[in-house]
Amino acid sequence: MTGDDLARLLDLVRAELDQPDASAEDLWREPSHWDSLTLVNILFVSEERFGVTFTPEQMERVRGLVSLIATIDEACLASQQEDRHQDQHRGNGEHIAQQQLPEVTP
Amino acid sequence: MKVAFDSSRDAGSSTDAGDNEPELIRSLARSFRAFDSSLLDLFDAFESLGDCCEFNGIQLRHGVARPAFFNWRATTIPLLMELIGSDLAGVDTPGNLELRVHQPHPDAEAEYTVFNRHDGSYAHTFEYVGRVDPDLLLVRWQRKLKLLRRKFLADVRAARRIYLLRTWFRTEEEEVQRLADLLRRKGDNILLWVRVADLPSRAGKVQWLGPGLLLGEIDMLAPYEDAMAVKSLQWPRLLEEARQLVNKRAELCAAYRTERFA
Repeated sequence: MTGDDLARLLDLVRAELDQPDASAEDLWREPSHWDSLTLVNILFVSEERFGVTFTPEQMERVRGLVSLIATIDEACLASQQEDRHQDQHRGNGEHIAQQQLPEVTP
Repeated sequence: MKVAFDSSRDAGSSTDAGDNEPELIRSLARSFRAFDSSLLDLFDAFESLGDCCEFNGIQLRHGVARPAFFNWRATTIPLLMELIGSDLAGVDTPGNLELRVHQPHPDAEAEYTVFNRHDGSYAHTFEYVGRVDPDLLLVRWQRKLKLLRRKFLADVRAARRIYLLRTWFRTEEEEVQRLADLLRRKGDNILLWVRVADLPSRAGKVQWLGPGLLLGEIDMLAPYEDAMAVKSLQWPRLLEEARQLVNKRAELCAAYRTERFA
């Protein structure tokens, strides 16, 4: 996670906690003081903001900011690997399609 | 935003006046922070389907505060059949949700509950009138339900946990078996049905009742009006026995597969 991403994440968490002035140290405590509604909402907006989809296992692992960052990183990596896999698959498909082009006879 | 006042039914009121989930969870979790981690694993192996919040409260006391769709929710078997059968269709549709105010008696703090017009279900929010913006609360609940719906459907397909249903009123075994069958159609799931033992000698015992269905008999259950009260100390024993039966079944299935395909 880049510095900008982290800053955006902290702002997102502050917004959900309704604590615009909370320091990073306050937010960094784990296990967290997040109630289940707040936790789920943070997961929801994190998915939207970072373009990831958490698995149930990942959702259960999040307890506070530290685990959230680790989980977002993991989800981003999984998403990138999936994209690469799909690109590779598409590339193979195009290669095969080119080989199978029928000859054009006048 | 208009909010309907609902005093027609006790919403399985599970907290004392003035309690709220954030503070309640924190105080319970703090007081039981030094609990046995093996008990935490045991209680975390189960997921409540209702019929009220009793088991959620007991899980909380053992350190399990995992968000789940049917947590803190009043249910009946017909409702569960409809919701699970339809893959929780409509539960997170914004137009179906409304906030209602629940106040079990005049001295209690008025709590918002989320009511679903589509299926008639409702859930505690543990947020209280005057303490929170109702419009914002509804938006947050819509998001929560969307996420938890997705999680429940993935979990039930993967059979990640043993589902637990307690019943207070007399319930026919066939009805519970139908719910167990429905869960088995979704995945390789097991349902533990907990009810008060017919005979004192049966209290604390667990047995297979049918495919995917265990019966756990307990000495007492918490009443609806005081669902967070700890009425029985038999829960750990009951859950351990259920888990052992499930594990034994898994071992037998694995051994059968090995033998058959060796």
